Amino acid sequence: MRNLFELLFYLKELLLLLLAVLVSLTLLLTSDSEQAVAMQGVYANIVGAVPRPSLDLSDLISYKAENQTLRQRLIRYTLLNAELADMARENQRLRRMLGFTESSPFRLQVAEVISRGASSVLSTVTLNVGAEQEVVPNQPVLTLDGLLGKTLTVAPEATVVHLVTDRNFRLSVKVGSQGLRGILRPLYGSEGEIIGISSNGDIVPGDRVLTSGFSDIYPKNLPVGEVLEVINIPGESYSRVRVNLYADPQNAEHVFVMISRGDGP
Amino acid sequence: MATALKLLLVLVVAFPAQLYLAPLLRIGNIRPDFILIILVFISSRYGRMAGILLGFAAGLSQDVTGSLSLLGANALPKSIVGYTVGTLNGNLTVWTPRVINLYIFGSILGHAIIYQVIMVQGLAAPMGKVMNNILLEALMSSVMVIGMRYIIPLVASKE
Repeated sequence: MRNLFELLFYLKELLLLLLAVLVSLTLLLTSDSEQAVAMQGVYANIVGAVPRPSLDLSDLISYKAENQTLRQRLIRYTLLNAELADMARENQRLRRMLGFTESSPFRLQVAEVISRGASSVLSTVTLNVGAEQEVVPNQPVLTLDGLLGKTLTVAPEATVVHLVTDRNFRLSVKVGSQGLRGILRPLYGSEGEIIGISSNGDIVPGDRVLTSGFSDIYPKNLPVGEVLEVINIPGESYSRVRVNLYADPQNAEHVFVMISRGDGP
Repeated sequence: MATALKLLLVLVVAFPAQLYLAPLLRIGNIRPDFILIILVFISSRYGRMAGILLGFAAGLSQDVTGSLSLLGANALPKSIVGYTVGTLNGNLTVWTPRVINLYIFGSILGHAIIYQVIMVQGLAAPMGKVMNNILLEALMSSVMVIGMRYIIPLVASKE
């Protein structure tokens, strides 16, 4: 018995390592549990409460370039806005003619990204808005470029976003001139893949990928990405469509949370 | 007790650096892992036990700030790094600096491999990109640790 204790004492470091490895593996296998969600809620609360420096190093470095890009964007959007206003008028007229009910605009809440997590690879972002701004779980989060993800854990003044690039993210999308429906799943980095698309579908690189609307969370026609490549495997009736996702979580600073899909203020 | 508090304080300081400074120093999709760098220094100074405990705790804290689907992805490789680098504690005066550097690089490379493999589990990730990220992550942290150890020498604690 004494020898056993001596052996255990001698191997204590190895046993501790084994314990740490076992606990880590258990956590990896059960990490979508309610306790894990609760832990992330606590983290979101802490990050939300910590005051963030109003000007950081990246602001100083990128200020000039960003300003120029924003000016160019502003001109582009002004021109686009004029074009869209014209199209909206035409659309309204056509809708009235067809007897459609006029749809209400989305209600969006502007939010700032306050944290990108502490891991060496980005897997989540935290926003500076929360339940106090009417944010609830499962609301779409957008950037100017397209869909970024959905709200996951909501604290009073912070929200953790489930990113479109996360391995567990799935989204019903439509693509191509025929609006073929498929399921988008992330690949690695800023790329994704649509599965379930028939191999005789008319899809070409450059086609836009939009949300299909077959969801309680995402309204239809939100921009998601652009087709990079269509892979047809001989003998298979489905194609694999490689997609470049529009949203860039690494650089997103300000985003929009879709508070409601209609009846805006 | 005083040592434990000191280590806790180091971690508390390291976390804001990882949250707010690391994104500014990223190359591509990879950010430097300051927590790992500090873990290497602490493990080599205080040994395997402190290394494993600190690696697990710090890794788990990093995971909580990350994706829910990957809780444990940092805790697992960091516990192992705590153990392997903690071995240096008794060998710092025995091994040559070159061997120590190689050993540290090996440990950090192991961390990068385990972490990236967990990250791409279930994704149809291109092998080239994964290898690229593993090497980039390992090189970034190794260069920082090996560069820093000539400024702050790795010394075994006298406790």
